[in-house]
Amino acid sequence: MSKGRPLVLMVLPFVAVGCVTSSQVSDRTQPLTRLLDEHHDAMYACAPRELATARAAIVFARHETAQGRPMSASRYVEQAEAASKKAFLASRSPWCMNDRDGDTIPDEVDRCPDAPEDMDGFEDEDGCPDPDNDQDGVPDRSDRCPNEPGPAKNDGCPIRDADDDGVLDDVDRCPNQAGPAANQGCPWPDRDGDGVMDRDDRCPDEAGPPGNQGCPYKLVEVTESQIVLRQTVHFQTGKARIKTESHPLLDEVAEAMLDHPTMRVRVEGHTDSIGDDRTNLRLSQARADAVRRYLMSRGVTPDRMTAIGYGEDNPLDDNATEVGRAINRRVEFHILSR
Amino acid sequence: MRWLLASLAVAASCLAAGCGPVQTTRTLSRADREISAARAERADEASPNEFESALLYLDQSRAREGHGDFEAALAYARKAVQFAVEARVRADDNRLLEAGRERLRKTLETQAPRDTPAPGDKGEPR
Repeated sequence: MSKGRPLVLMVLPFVAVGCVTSSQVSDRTQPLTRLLDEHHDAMYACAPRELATARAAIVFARHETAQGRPMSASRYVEQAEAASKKAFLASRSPWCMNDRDGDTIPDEVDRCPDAPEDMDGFEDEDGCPDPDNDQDGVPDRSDRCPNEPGPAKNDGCPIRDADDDGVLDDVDRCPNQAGPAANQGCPWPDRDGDGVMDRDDRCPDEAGPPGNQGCPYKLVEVTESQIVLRQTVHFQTGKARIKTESHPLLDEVAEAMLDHPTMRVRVEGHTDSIGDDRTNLRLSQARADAVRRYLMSRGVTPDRMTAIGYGEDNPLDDNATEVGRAINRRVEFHILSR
Repeated sequence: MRWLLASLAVAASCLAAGCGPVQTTRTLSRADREISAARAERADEASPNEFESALLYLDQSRAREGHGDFEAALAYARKAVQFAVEARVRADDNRLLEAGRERLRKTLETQAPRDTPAPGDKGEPR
């Protein structure tokens, strides 16, 4: 017993000083953990190694305690305390306080002093990270077009409209040809290539002007110099009254004029040589005027037409025969400008 | 039959105790490799917190292995691997950040008014 006492006396102070109990470890490491959590960002930026050491030492201390090795646990607690102190002091130092988040933007101009700027070239001056630059809901990390909004199904890139027809390429059956949405972005077909789409073209296989619903003119032909009539304009004998049977013919002339909205014409009236010259001249003028008025009633503006009666002065055929005279009694449309 | 029983007994004893060291050694090797890879990426400078953590856990794992505490050694080795990988990834991110900072620095330099001294700058003598 007397031999044992000195041994106990030797060991006791060492144990008292060097050892910590499980609850002591907990009591000493808990405030450290709180401190490290509270100042994590600043410590991470300004004392990263000390922060790592402190956190690891706390883990090791707890493990050693759990394994029943108080001496070792005590050493780790001391190590954790020392490292935490260093990390805390570094985090409160002026050089660290000037840029808490370590993004190199001084806190005084950093709108987010505790969140490091992501430096992705988008609004980097404000010091705030922009995890989704284009705000399209696709995070920049997985956004192929981080600065252009676009749906997730297209990896965050906008869906283009290559042909600019208002139908986006992902639903456009003809992405490189403009076409209406009603035809899934494809142009309506135009078999005769007359510019009137087949759905609006009364004659889809015969080229014709839009004013004639895509059908060719039947009764007139527009040449370089004239609107040539394929029929004769009939008037009541000796009068300037147009017979109704000639209305379809003049309607087509009006359509041709409307299809060529800048075209100006001279309406010429001609007679045969039966009767006296002055009467024929007056009659041809009256007939040319009647035709002009008819065309006006069909929407052709008066400033586009001049009406002139030539009487019997410009025959096309022999006035000695009935056939010749019929040919000479005529109305002509000469194009003055297009 | 005797051979089969013997093999089963060896396998059972390996599972019960002997495979701990094998797995620990393997994980430690991996941690070593990951730390080397992270160092090659200059993670010790770019992500010092994670890199330091990896080293600390690797050391601790070796220490526990030396004491025959294979369970703890394996857990620490795994943490070392995890931190080393994180350090390498962050180092990679940091390189991008650095490039961005350089761009920003140049932008701010070109935008700074020439006649206004920067905060803390006493300005050039005129």
